[in-house]
Amino acid sequence: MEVASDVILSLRDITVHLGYSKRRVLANISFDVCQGERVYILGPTGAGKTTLLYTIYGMWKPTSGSVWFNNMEITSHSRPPLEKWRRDIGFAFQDYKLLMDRTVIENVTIPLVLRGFTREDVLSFAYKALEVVGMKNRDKDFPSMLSGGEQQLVSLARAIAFRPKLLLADEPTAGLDNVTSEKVLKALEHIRDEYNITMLIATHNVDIAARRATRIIRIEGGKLRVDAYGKGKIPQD
Amino acid sequence: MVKARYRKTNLDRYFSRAFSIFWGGGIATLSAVLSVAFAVFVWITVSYLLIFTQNFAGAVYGNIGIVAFFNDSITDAGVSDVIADVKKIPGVNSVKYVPPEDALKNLEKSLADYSALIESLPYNPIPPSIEVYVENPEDLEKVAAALEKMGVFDDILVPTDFANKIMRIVSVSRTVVMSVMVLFLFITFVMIFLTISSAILSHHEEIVLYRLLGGSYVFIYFPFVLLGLLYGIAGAIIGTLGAAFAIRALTPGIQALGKAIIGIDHIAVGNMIPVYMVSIVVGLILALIAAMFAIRRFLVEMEVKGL
Repeated sequence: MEVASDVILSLRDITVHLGYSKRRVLANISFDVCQGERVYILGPTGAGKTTLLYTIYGMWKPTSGSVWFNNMEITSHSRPPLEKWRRDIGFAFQDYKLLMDRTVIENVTIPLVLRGFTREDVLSFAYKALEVVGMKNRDKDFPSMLSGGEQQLVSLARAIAFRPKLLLADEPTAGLDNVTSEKVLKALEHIRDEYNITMLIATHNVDIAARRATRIIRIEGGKLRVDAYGKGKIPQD
Repeated sequence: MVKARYRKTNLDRYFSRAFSIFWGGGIATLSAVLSVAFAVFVWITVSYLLIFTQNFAGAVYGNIGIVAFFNDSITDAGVSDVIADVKKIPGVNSVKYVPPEDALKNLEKSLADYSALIESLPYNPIPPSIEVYVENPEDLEKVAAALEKMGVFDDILVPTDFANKIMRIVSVSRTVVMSVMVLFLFITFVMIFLTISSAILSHHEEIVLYRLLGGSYVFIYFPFVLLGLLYGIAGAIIGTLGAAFAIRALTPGIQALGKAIIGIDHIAVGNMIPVYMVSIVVGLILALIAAMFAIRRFLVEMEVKGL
């Protein structure tokens, strides 16, 4: 498949069926994402945003179609090399997925250790990530000592600590109040400024997407309805 | 942007993780180590008993001889020729000539209550004889047949029943020992499998997260393989030491028992070091296989969940 040189992620006709009933969650989704783009995936609850991110991350195998990232394609593999695939993708989960018996810094160091960073780089990269999201001073705290927003910031720090090429964030502001949401969104901007990471952010919040996105993709009922560029515009069907 | 530096190996991390789970395992670690230790202890002890039984049987065989009484036609020169011929029969270990006088003395000794009767005999009725010792009690019949063919013996006494009993004892002991070993191999396997499975289960959240964050299966599971090896090493060392002490304490008593039963002063047990080494290696291999099985179970589960 041929893609433009600055295209970092490419989805072609992705269809996903899930569960025993083989319910169709995504249908023929196709789009390319270029280096440095900040794409907001917009859609109501149950539209298929999380499934789309999970499919890109290799957690769900699409029924048909292909996903290309970093000149690699995994959907055709019966046993995909997921660790290789995820080497340059950071994921901030909606439920944070922090280990509660580890401190903030220990949580952030996990992906760095998994990627075989040297001891010195593990700490320096982890602290740098915490600094970018404004959580450096909470490094010795346990997640249970943090608010939901702060846990989301730690989750973001963990997702970007190893300087991935692509960041997937699943509803990063879900369940947070306006002030805390703003903090998280500012952290995302700071991340982009600092690391120039390409971002795919799933949200159901139209305002957030409209204010921050360089591109908005709207999904409804598992289908791509709108794919629009330009900050400050809310795309209509 | 600063470029990251990567490590050449993660082996130290695997070991440190395995040690941390091992020490932090508490009762689970203790039960896995003790089960390996107990199994190794039982293997070595029953191996020792088997070796002893075999040596005991060997010592008994060495004392089981065919007694062949010469006929009247034999001369002194003829006896030497016959002994030389008998030694050539396949399966014969040694031949001992018993003159009539010695045979009579032996009879007096074994029938001490009738010594007066024996002394009153006008002449020595026992003919000269030879005692033929075989290498393997299974050859008794074959050697007796060969002696019969020589045509110089009046009477040949073959202790077949006794030899058969001893062979049966050795055979039964071997079967019992093998069954006990297989049983304990299985018990140890199950114990280690369950302990490592529960260790993996108790780290399940962490393992899933590691996989989600890009950890390789090797990074996630290799520490558990090392954990299995740690159980194996610790258990095998404890079990072997325990068995070595037990064998040291048991040997004099067992040898005294052997002496009481067959009158042989010292039954060699032989070198137990190879048995210890084999038991340690078996313990380690078993722990490794059990660890692999436990891990495989979770690998399949992870794959099913798309991790």
